[in-house]
Amino acid sequence: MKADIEERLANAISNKVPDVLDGILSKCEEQNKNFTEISMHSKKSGSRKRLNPILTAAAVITLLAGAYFAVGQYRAAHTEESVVYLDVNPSFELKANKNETVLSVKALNEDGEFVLSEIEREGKTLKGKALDKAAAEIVYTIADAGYLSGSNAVLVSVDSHDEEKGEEIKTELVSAIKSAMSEKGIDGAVMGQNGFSASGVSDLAEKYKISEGKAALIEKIIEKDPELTFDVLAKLKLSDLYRLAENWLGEIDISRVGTAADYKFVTPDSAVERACSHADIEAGDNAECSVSADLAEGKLVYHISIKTEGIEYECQIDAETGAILNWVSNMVGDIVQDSGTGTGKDSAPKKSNENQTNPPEIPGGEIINGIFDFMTKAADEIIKNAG
Amino acid sequence: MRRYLNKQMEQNIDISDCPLETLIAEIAAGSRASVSSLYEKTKTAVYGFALSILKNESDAEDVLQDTYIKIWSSAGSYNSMGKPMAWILTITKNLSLSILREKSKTADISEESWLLFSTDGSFCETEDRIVLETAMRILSDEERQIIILHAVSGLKHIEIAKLLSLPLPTVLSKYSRARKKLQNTLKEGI
Repeated sequence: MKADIEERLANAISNKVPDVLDGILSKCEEQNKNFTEISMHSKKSGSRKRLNPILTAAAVITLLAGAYFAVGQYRAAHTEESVVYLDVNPSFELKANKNETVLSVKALNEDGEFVLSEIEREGKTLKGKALDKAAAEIVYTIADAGYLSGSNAVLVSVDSHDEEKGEEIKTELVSAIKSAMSEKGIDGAVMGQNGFSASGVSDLAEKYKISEGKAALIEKIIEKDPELTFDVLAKLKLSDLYRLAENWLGEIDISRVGTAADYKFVTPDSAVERACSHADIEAGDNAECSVSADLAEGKLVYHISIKTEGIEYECQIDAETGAILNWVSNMVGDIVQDSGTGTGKDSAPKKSNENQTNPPEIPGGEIINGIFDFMTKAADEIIKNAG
Repeated sequence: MRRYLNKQMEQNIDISDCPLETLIAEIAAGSRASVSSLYEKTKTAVYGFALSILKNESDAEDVLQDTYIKIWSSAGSYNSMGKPMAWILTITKNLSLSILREKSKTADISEESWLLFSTDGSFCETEDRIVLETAMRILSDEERQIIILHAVSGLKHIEIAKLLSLPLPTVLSKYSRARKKLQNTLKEGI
């Protein structure tokens, strides 16, 4: 009957759909025409003005050629050779010249601005410092401000004109940061990556207001599991991203020194396995599963849907603990909603038949079920009488 | 993206969302042929959802057309997040709600306009028509939207909950209630 009612609804609507495709296509054509006309008009009015700038440019180049040698040394000292992103939760961008001297430091979020203001308040300056010393100084201040207590992960991302040089800088910085953390008595992980600008993450970084380094890390994670989406991962703390990335550290282009936690986040694949185990479904069964990642109150959760013959399950799984937060069984004609059968990451999930014959104890659960049944029956009565 | 535990079924995977993403990308690049393909794949879901909100065939037809025109102009700003159907139906919802706001329609249609709806002679299956008419007549707005979305769009309950900005337990209980109401009413009617 379940398939019958919805199948009939779908058939009825399908038969009812009017054919408006021609109208759609002609409106699309109209919009296209308008756009083309506007573009051609802009092109025309721009074309007349080319000649003068060419002559002017020629004169400027001649003057510059004469001054080239005089400014050569100055330019070399002030040319950006490498960009480094430092992410904890405060986030920074450092630019350095070919001598690995800091040319500029910029905070990429509010926490970063706070840290830089603290450094300034102490009378210290990062500009002109060696890159590894500047990074260490930032880490000291981050640690003192309390950003590195609890779960400790730092991400260093280097992008250099010279890839080999970038690799050297990455190694030096990872080492310098790890040492700085140790000096402050902090045990944690320092992740490093090099040469990410080719991955085209700058638009994503700007859109989600994160550093390009963090965006590059997220892209690497998503490559390993496309069920994870950028918009969800961009909102995670770096320590959570680290716990997720731990599942693939040997496979993605990220180096790591130290460890930040003694557990990893559950991957979407593992979440599906847990859900299937809970529903007592094995690999040989004809089951169709789907999983999507989302955030619930700032925490990464997975929504799992499982369809077998005649039964549909939906649940949420906490990525951090692996606990099942919500479990719904949709049998033929009925919906049975259970309370969350949360299990910790170290304990075995319950079997589905246990779940259905022995629902978990909820204080006052019988009373709640009774109230729900009464309200449903009352609503049905009202509707019957009204009809 | 769907996964199957039974590897033998991988050959027959119907990853219906993947072609939609590709079509949207092609529309963004200016392909009108892709507009046609997308229309053919999704028109039932779009029209059904619009009808469930507006309860008026003419308005639903307008929304059907405007949805794809909007997709044509906005495809470039679609962020590939693996949920193209939800994106399309969000456009449908917003267009439908605009019409509702303009017309300030109240919850239940009058009997006269329901009769107008039911005498359209284009249905092939009488029983299918009866089920749809019953759904339009006896279900509340949310019950109707939820059950029609579930029937025609392929969205899961959790996705329907997000689309309608409702908690998942609410969607599940209204879905259950809608089915029971339809079953009971149709049993009495036959």
